[in-house]
Amino acid sequence: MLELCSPLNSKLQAGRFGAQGETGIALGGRPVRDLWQIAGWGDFEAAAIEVLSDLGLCGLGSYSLASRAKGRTAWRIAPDKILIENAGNLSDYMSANLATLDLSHARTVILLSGTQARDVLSQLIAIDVTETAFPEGRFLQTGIHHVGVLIQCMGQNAFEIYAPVTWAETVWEVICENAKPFGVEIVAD
Amino acid sequence: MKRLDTGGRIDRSKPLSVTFDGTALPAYHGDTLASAMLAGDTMVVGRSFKYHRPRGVYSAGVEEPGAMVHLRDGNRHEPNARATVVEAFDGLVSSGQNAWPNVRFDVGAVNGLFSPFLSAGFYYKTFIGPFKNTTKFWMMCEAFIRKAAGMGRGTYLEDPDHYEKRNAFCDVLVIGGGVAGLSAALAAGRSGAKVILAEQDFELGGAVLSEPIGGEDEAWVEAVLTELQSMENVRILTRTTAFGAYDGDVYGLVERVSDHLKAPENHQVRQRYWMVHAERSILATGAIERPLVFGGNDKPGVMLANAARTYLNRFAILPGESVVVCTNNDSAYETAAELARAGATVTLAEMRASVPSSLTHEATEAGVSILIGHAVLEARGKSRVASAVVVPIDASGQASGAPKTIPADLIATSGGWSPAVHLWSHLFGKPIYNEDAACFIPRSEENHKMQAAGTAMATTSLSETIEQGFDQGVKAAQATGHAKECGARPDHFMTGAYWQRGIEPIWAVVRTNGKCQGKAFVDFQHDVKISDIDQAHLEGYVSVEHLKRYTTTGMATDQGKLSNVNALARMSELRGMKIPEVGTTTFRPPFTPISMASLVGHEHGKHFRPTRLSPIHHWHVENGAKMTEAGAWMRPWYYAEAGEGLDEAYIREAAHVREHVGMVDVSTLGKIAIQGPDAAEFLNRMYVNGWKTLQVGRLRYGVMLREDGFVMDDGATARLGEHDYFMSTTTANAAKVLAFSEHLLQTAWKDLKVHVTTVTDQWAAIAVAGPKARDLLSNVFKGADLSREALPNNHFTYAKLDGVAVRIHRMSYSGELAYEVYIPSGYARAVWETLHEQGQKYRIKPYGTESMSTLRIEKGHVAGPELEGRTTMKDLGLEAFASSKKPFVGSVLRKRPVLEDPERPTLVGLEIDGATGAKSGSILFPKTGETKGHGDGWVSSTTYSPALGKNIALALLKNGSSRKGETVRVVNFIGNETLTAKVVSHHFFDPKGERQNA
Repeated sequence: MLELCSPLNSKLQAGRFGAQGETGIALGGRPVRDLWQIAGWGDFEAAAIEVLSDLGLCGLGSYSLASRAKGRTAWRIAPDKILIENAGNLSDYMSANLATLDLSHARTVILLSGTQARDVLSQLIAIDVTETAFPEGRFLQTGIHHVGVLIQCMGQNAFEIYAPVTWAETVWEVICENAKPFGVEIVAD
Repeated sequence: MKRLDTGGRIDRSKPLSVTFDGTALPAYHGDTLASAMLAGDTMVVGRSFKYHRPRGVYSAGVEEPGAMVHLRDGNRHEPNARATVVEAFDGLVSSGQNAWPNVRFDVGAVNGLFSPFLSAGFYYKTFIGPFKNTTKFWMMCEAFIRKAAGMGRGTYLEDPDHYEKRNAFCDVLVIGGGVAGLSAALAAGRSGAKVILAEQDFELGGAVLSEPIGGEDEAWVEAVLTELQSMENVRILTRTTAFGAYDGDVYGLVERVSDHLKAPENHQVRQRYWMVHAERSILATGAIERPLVFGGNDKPGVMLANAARTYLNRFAILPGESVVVCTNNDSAYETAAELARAGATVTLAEMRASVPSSLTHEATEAGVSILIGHAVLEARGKSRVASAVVVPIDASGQASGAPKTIPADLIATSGGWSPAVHLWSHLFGKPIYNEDAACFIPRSEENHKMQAAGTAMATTSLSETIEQGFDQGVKAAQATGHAKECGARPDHFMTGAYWQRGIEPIWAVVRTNGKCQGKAFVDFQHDVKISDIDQAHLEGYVSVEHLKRYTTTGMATDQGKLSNVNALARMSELRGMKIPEVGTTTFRPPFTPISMASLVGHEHGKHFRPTRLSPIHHWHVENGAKMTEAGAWMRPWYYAEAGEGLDEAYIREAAHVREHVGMVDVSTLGKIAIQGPDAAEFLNRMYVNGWKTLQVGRLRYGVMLREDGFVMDDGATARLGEHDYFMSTTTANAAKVLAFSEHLLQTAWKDLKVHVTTVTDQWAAIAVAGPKARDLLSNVFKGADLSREALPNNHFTYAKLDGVAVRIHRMSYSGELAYEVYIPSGYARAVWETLHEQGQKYRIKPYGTESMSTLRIEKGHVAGPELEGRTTMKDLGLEAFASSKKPFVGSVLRKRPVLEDPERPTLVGLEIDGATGAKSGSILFPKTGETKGHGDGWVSSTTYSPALGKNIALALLKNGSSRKGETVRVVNFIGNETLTAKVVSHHFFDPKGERQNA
């Protein structure tokens, strides 16, 4: 098998930079696994539920709460579109009622965590990211430095940022610039 | 002027090294630059805008009009800093500005002699008139005028510091950390609401900071602050100015994080721009004392009364030893008494005809001499005040008796106070005039999400200030759903008199002839004299908006803080009207100047905009590619070999492709998944050509138009499955095509069951072109049948490399035998490297965008320079693609007569005579005649063609198709160069397509 190359290869070098003292931010990355989009039309929900239940996922979720089970996550990104990670291969579900699309190589995940992670996010996006407004399990779709991203809250101070691969370095660099005052540790694989 | 041994809020154990124009100032921690200047008896600190008059420290706050200085040096140099708000720090270097050789002796002061000619409207009258060439005259004079007038000089050096933006969301934003603001924050905080309290000073307390230390007011602030600091729901931001209030409950704040340090420490930012989203806000910004207008009222040594008090009580400086205080209201009495108690000889010129003894008692006790019904007519002294000319006046401010001269080194004035209504005005427009308090205040309307409290609302006592602040805090909390009990209001404490009781609206002091004695300024910042207002009136200006622009009063950093009411008062007097009838101007953001850097944040330099990188980007960089910007993308421009420049490299690369084989990264092409049962119909509507017959496994070139009939984009679309298509667009138009498609599907074509999704990131693409392309790919992708029969042009097939599935499209942009390999982007670099490595035996070379362009120009393919929004299919020779059997986007408007005009420029080829190539954008003219105007067309793309051994170009030429063989002139007006060229077909190379069909 050919070597899979992360778009963040040049960035994911372990090290520490920015402010001395406590490390407020940890940055890392991981590839997405089998990310598929399912999309439909008027009867989308019925068609989608069939796919989701086959994958062991319950319900359609909401536009801010992902549906998660068995290592899979489904995000309702639009009334007629759902993104599913760890979906396996959904091409067989393609029909006149449902369009399936492999986007596994289209996104990469930037891992942002640390005690100051929410501060960094508040510098990047004009959405309330305090713990009450954006608790664990919630996701939001927004833009970082004009690039469309999906941010999943993984815990009190942990986030996964799904960024388009061709924009990933620029998003990473802007996150780093904003994180420097807090002290940053880059965690390599 | 001297520093007192005791008192003040300075830390005498922490002396600081601070200089102004190279002279050390006696500064301590807690000082401002202005207080350090006064402590060092530095009186002349600036020169005025127009007349270069010496100016000193006039205020103790953001309203400062005169003490504008250069701050720091080198790449942190900052012009126009108001010394009154610059916190002193160790190593602070400052200097005078707008003066030569220095602010103490300024050659520019000669302007003062010409002041009769430099009055209001000077520029309009001199440079905009019914005379010939006034514009040219202005342009000639402008540089000199701008150099002579104005403010400080900026630096061209790059700012080494970082600035950041941060979003914050709260229930209640309290603007101002004085008594009213603290009370409001306390109430809202206790209710559980999320509160942000912003204070521009480095200490909280507001007016309390100007009180003598150790009083009960100090304990009051400390108690409230302690409680606020214990609340997790309250965020206190000091050194933070709320500079603008905007629609959508958004407020702009700038926090000066490191401005009080020599340089930011430990990677911290210099300033932070807060965008605060607040459901409710409370304007507790206090009030700014107003100047009085009299002759020489701008001289160093004339100061606002409360500023003198601030320097005395906060910074422990006696700002004058012989002081004349002049006031039309009660608020200056405390200043007079405290200055006298501190050792100054104080005379108080009370402008009112009578005042109660309860007011004068304390001052008299302190030793102040009070002159009832008197005012300062003129401040005298050369570069600083030496004496005050005091006269008895009538109720209008006109002299009514003999003047007398009182020696004075400080004249402290109070013309009343102006509530700082600016942020309210940003949201709601013009404030209303309160006759009793003689000032403008916000309109209080229940539905306003911003409410004012305290002296910003012209409260008349401290207990009212606390009550109003607290109550507004409660209301704001309740309005945001926080009904929890807010507890009792804090008690009030003793303070001096406010300004409203019995204020006499006398704004200017004039002689018996109605004129001021000498130059009397209304706007210190822009050197607007009261006589300029008079002149504007004489010339017929009646609107305040016109007055402002004609005289420039209230402009620059003043923004009406000091000048507004006095200018309006004069105008209303001249027009025989009341101030509310004359009206006021509207305040606009920013309240105080903010740095551009704070607005920019991190979005500059490399991050001015996002950059997009191909999955193969780093290979290109590691292998010596010279990169170029292509929209947001970085693309390999050319791969220089030893000693090569651009020209040598691209010519070699293009020739190499035609002779052997080359590979180019085309991952930047827009790629869109078109999915759904109506996908073919969608394509039929988007493209000019038909799509319903395209079979799975095939692809087709298509052209799409804008609705107005001009060409928007072109590209190939492959049918991957029954309901599944893969569209490619040009790199430049990818986002536009996707957005346009989505727009149509969500509006006009909601009946179509189609989804469009970008897959530009999912798929990388490598074009392999040249006579050896098939051999190479067949060798790499074992098992894939790429033969002419199995995979003719416009077909695609699947293949695998080490388990990775790719798709190979047979199509050619270069005119050579060529394929595009589409690869899941994570494997793109590995496939590229494999092709490069295994291609060595076929002599493969990577090539960049420059040679890619050469190849397509030789072939006559259109690209960005031709698809530039002004060209039609007919212009570009693409009309044959258009179907006549179906409508498509642009199908109606492309038939407009103007687009059907046979004389429109059409695509041609040019063979340039001689060894010099044409420049893109050159204008085409017939062989003879004048070369003026728009000519017959223009050059769109140009290159040296190694295949033809000559310089060629694509061009749009009027009647182009009938001019083949004609010689035209190619004029580059910018480079002053004229070439000649032969008009030929744009299919320069292999017009029959034998090579690509091989």
